[in-house]
Amino acid sequence: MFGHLKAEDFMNLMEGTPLPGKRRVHLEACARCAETLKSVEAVRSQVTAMQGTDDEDILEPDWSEFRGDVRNALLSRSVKRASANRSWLGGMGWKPAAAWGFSMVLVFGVMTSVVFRNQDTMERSGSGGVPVEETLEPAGTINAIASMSQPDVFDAIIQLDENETESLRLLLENLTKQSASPQ
Amino acid sequence: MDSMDRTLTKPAVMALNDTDADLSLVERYLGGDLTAFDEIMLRYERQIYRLCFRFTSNPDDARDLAQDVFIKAFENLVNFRKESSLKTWLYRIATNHCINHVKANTRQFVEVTDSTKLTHATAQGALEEKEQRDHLRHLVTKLPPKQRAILELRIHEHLSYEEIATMSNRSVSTIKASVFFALEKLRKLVKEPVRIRS
Repeated sequence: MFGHLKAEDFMNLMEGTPLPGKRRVHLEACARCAETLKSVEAVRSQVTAMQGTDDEDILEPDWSEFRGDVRNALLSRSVKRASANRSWLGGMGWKPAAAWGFSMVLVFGVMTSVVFRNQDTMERSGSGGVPVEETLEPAGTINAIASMSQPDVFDAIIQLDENETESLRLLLENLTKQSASPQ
Repeated sequence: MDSMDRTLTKPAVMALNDTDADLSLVERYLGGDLTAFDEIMLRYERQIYRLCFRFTSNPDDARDLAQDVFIKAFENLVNFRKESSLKTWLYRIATNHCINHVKANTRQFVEVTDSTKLTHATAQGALEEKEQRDHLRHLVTKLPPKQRAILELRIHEHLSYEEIATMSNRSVSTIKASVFFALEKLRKLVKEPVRIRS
């Protein structure tokens, strides 16, 4: 069922927008809506009429002074902000301060990584890793190899019996044949 | 001095569409062009001041409020998203500022006092036109701040319903209804002053 007009309908009517069919019919038939429209419209025209004369009554400031005050306030605030930043950065601009801070972070990072690397190497050598000494050749072995000389090998060959001598001869012949034959 | 300023700067700005001109002024200001500051001020200082005056009815308070609005606006101009026009953005700041000011001085609109009844009674007689206007103006100050702001923006500042809706994040229907309810409340106040709460 269609009810009374809504606030929006009244405003549309007062501002010259026509109502759709059903609502217009309702307005024509409803004394309450018609009365509301009439009385609110009267107040609206009073308020609207008030505007022109109101504007004349408004005391305006000196606009150049008004503007100057706003400008000065903005400047003083930006100066305050800048000085606050400067004191925090120790008198440096933000770019040099950022560069300085970055280089400090870089130095700290490099130093930290070096320390951790050294620590890691020391831990490995101290516990789970292969001891440094064990990786090197024992001094005795090196000396033994160094002391070995060609006469010792010939001495060993001279001490072979007949069978061993024959086997060595066959082995050397075979090797000679293999190296002589084309691949 | 003021009128001279206006005639010097307005033609250059008027050549462009209002919104485009505003955006170009904002970009110029943010780019460090300080003449853009004066141009923005010239375009809006009077409108913003008048809105503030309607809320305060006092030139000194209106001046302070309007200056605060511009200081706040220029400091936050970098955050202006260009989704709305500079005009509605400034009006939004001004309206919120005025509403806060009125809320801080709530006694002014909390109740309609006996003196209002007295004024009303005499207004029914042979009061001059100015007194009637003053009376109506006084009654407008009795409206709740948000309703009053919407009424001022619509009736006095001639902002469209769409602009007010954008400013206040409400629908056009809600804004129309708010204007109607403000007028209806005024009608009741004019006829029979009663105690109203904000």
